[in-house]
Amino acid sequence: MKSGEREAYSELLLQYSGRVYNTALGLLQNREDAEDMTQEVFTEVFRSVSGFREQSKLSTWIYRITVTKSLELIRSRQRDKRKGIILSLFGKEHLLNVTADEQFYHPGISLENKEMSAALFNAIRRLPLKQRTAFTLNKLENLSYSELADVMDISVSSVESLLFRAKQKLKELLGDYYEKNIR
Amino acid sequence: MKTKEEWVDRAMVSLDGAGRAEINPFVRERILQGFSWPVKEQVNLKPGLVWKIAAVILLLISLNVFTMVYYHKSSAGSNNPVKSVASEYFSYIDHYNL
Repeated sequence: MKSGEREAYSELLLQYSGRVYNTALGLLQNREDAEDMTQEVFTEVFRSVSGFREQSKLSTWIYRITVTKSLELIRSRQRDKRKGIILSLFGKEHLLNVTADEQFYHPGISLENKEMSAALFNAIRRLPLKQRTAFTLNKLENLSYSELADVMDISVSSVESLLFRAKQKLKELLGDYYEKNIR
Repeated sequence: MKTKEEWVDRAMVSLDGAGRAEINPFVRERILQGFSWPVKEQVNLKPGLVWKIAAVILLLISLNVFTMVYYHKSSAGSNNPVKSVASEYFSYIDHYNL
């Protein structure tokens, strides 16, 4: 792998691009952003794979890069949004950059769950970033608590706590959603 | 009509068993192309422009050669002892109106 042949890179890409894309898509909730993020992550992986010390699993390392870069993008978009709100006060709201799809439909969800999952994704967007990461990786990538702890570099009990709080908050948000849109 | 609690509970598990979203193969190819073998941007010059550039370069070289030859000749002339004695001699004649 470290010799850097095209075949090795191609194999790595084939093996992990699905996980990277699916994780980025779950976190960013936008197809184009997820594709760009996948490219960015693999550029980083190819560049620094020679320095990979194999202290953790390769998949953990790649997940970590994906999460870090996706959260950076989300934070930067949140800053842009705040800037946009200020601009809108001065009548320049066209400069506001809207990013995540308002109704996000994940392609892997069955048709019968489509509407409810869109409501759930809407609620996930309102979670604090650590809870959002833990819940998304747990649900979409089926990562165990211990794998999540490795990726997020926290203890297993912290993961349990994050997921518990995420579920409480999501139930609350979905309850509000039901009152406003379904009832 | 479902109750609120039932709806919330069903929504909470709506991601369970979700399949992995597949990435477009074109994106994978773009990643490989973009990283390993960046396509070098080719600069296409018009043939007329190439000849003009060649002419300018040739002119510059000719000017340099001409300047070198001219400088060499003039400096060789000023170092000739016979010429310098003669010019000194004639300047004395002119000065004293001999």
